[in-house]
Amino acid sequence: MTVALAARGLGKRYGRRWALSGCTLEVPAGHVAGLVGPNGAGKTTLLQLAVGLIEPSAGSIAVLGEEVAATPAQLARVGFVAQDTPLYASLSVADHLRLGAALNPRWDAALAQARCARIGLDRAQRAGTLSGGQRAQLALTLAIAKRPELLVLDEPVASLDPLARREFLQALMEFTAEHTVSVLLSSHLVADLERVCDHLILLAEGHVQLSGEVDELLASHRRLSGPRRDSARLPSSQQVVEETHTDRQSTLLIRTKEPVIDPAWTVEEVSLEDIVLAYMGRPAGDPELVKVGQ
Amino acid sequence: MIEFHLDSRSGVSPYLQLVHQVRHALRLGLLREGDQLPTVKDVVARLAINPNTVLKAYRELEHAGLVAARPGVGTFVTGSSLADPALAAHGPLRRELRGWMVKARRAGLDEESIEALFRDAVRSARIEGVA
Amino acid sequence: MIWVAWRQFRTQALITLGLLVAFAVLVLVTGLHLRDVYSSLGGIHCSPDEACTAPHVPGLDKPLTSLLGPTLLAIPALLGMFWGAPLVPRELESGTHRLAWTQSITRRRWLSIRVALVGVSALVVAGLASWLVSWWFAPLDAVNLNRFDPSVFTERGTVAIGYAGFAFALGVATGTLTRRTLPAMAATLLGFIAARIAFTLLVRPHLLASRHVLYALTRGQDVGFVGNPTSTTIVAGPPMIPNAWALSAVLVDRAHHSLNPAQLHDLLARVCPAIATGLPANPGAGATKTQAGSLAGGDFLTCLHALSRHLQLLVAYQPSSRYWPLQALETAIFLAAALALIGATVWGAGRRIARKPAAAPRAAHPA
Repeated sequence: MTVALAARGLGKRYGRRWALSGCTLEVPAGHVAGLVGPNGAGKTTLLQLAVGLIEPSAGSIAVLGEEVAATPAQLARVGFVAQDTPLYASLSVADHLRLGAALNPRWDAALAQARCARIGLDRAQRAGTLSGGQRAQLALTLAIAKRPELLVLDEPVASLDPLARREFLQALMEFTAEHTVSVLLSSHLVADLERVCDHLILLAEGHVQLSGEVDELLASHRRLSGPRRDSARLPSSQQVVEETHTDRQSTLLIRTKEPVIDPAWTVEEVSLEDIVLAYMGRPAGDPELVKVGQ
Repeated sequence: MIEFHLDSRSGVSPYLQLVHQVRHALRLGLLREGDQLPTVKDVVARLAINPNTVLKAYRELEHAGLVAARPGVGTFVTGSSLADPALAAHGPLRRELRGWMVKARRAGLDEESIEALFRDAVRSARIEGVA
Repeated sequence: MIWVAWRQFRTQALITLGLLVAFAVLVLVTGLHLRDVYSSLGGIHCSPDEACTAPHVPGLDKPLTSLLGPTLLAIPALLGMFWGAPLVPRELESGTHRLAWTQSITRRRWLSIRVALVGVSALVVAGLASWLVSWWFAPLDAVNLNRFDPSVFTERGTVAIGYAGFAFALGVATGTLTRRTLPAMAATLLGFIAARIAFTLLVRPHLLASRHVLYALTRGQDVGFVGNPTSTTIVAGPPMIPNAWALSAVLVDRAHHSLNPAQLHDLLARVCPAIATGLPANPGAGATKTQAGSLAGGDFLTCLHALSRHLQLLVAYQPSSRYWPLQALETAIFLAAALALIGATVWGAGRRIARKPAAAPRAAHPA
C-alpha cells in the first residue's frame, strides 16, 4: 500500500459553485501529509469526500486502494477528526468510549483508556463541559483507538490555545511514531504544519497548486535578489514562481534542480510559508509546476 | 539522557538542529560512550515533530559513526565519537581564526559585524550547494 | 449500535414514560370512579329506536369526556413531530453526523437501528394509550352505541397504533429530506392531518363491501320533503343502527328499484296531493318529524304512512361485526405505509445525506 489517497479530476459542486474542481493528487502512505490553503479553498470539501460524508460531483477518489465508504470494513480503516471536533454534548467521556467500542470492530480499549488517563479526562464528565483542548484530545482518542490505517484531521487545532495545540500535536506525533499509519491533516496556518508534516499539498480556489515532500520543497526553492533583470533570461532549469521588480532591483522566487552559480544573484533559502504564499498567488494549476519531486 | 529543543526561527532545518545538539553534547562530554539517545517516540512526544525528522537525524549521526542503532533496544553512542578526526584539526584552525579576527579588528569591524560576516559566510557556503 | 441508539433516545424515553404513567394514573382513577357511578345507577337501558346519551356523571368533569378521546389523535402527531422529525436533522444541525457516520458502520445500518428502536417504542406508547382510553370509555360506549362515528372510531381500538407508526415514519422521511428540524415537524403535522382526513373520507367507506338491507320509510332519519316553486320531492337519511355504520340510504319501490326525483314527485302527487301542491311557505328540506307535526299537523304523518306502503329505504351499511376487521384493516394500511416510507428513507440514506460540508455549528461550545 503505497498510496493513501488517490484523486483523479475530483470535483464537488454546490448549486453553481464548484468548491473543488479538477483535483488530481496522490497522498503517499506512511507519511504525515499537510493540506494547506486559504479559507474557502476546498480543504474541508476534499477531506469530507475522502471519508465519505459527501459524494463527488465529478471525478473519482480512492482511499487505501478502495472506494470511499463502500463497506463497513473500509470505514474501519479510516479515522476522522472533523473541524471543531463534534461530540455529543450530553454524553459523558465514558459514553463516548463505549460508543467507539460499539461501532468499531477493531477498537483498542486499552489504548483509549491509556490516552484518557494521560490527558487526565474525568470519565464521568459530559462532553459539553470539556475545554476546547480536552474535546480535541477526546475526538483524537476516538479516531485513534479504532486503529485506522489513515487518519484524516480537518483543522484540528485551529481554535485551540497554544498549549492545547502543542499537546494535541504531541499526542498525534506520538501515535504516528508508534504505529504505522498515514495522516492527512489540514490547516490554514503553514507554521502548524511545518514541524509535523513531511508532505505538503496546497489547495487554493478549489485546485491543487502544489504537492510534494517538504524536504524537497525547501531544497528546490530559492530566492534570488540582485540588479534588475528580465526573468526570461534565466536558464531553463530554473522556473520562476514569483517575481517582483523595482527600477533597480529584481527579486525572484524560483524552483530549480541545480545549484545557482550566477554570481550576480544573492541566493537565499525560502521558508515553507513563503513558498506556499508564492504559489497561492498563481492562477489555477499549471501542471508543470504543481508536482514537486517526480 | 539529553533533551532536545527546537528553535523554529533559526533557519536551520529541524533534523540538522538535532544532529548539532548531539554533536555539541558529545563535545562537552554530556554524552559519553554507551549512553542511549532518547527514543524516537519520546523525542516526537516532546517536540511535536515528524518522526521521520528524528529518524533522519539519527541516521546521519550513524553515518558519521557517532552513534549505532541496536534494533529493538535503542540508539547508543559509540566509542568512535572520541576519535572524531575533525577534533584534531581544531587547534590549527583556531589559531588561523584568531589571526583573521585580528585583521578584521584592525579594519575597523566591531564584534557584531564580525559575527554577522562569519554567519553569512557559513550560510552561503551551505546553500550554494543546492538540491 | 443498539446501545448507542438507546443512549441517544434515553432522555426522550424517560420523559415519555413519566408522562405515560401520569396519564395512566389519571385514566385509571377517573375510570374506576366512572364505573362505580354507572353500576350504582343500575345500568342504563335505551330502546333501540331512541338515541341515548350517557347521563352526566356527577363529579366527573365534563372536560375529560371531551378531551380524553382526542388525545389519541394528538399522541401520534406528537410522536411523529418530536420523535420522528428530529431524528436525522438533529445530527446534521449539531454536526455530530461527522462523528456518527465516520465510525465503522454504514449510514443505512445506523438509521435502521435508530428508527427501529424509536419506532417500536412509538407503537408501544400509542398502543398503551389506546388501550387506556378505550377502557375508560367502555361504559359510555355501551350506552351511546356509536362506535362507528368518525370521531369515535379513530379514538378507540388499534387505529392509533397505525397512526403513530405512520406519523413517525413521516417524521423520519421529512427530516431526512429537509435536513432541518422545524420544517420537518411542520411537514409531518400537515402531512399527518391530510392523510387522516383523506383516509377517513375516501378510503374507509370502501375498505369492505357494504351490506344492504331494507328498512321501512318511517325508520329513516331526517325524512321529509324538499320543494322548489316547480316541484317537490321526498328525501330521507339512513336510519340509526346501533353500533353499526349506516353509510347511505336510497328510496326504492316495492320492486327494489330506486326512484329518481321526478318519479318521487309523481308518487307524491298521487299519494299525498295536498302536500305535493300545498307545501307551507317555508318547507325547509328534511323537516323532522316533530317539526313537521307542528307545521302540517297530522297531514305529514298520514302522508308518511301512506308513502311507506309504496316506498322503502335501501340502506348500505357496515354491520357491527365489521368493527374489528375495519379497525385491523385501517391499522394495517397505515403501518404498511409507514414501512414503505421508512424503507424508502433508509434506502435513500445509502447516498450522502449531508449536502454541504457542515460549517461549524452556530451554538458556541463552552470553552
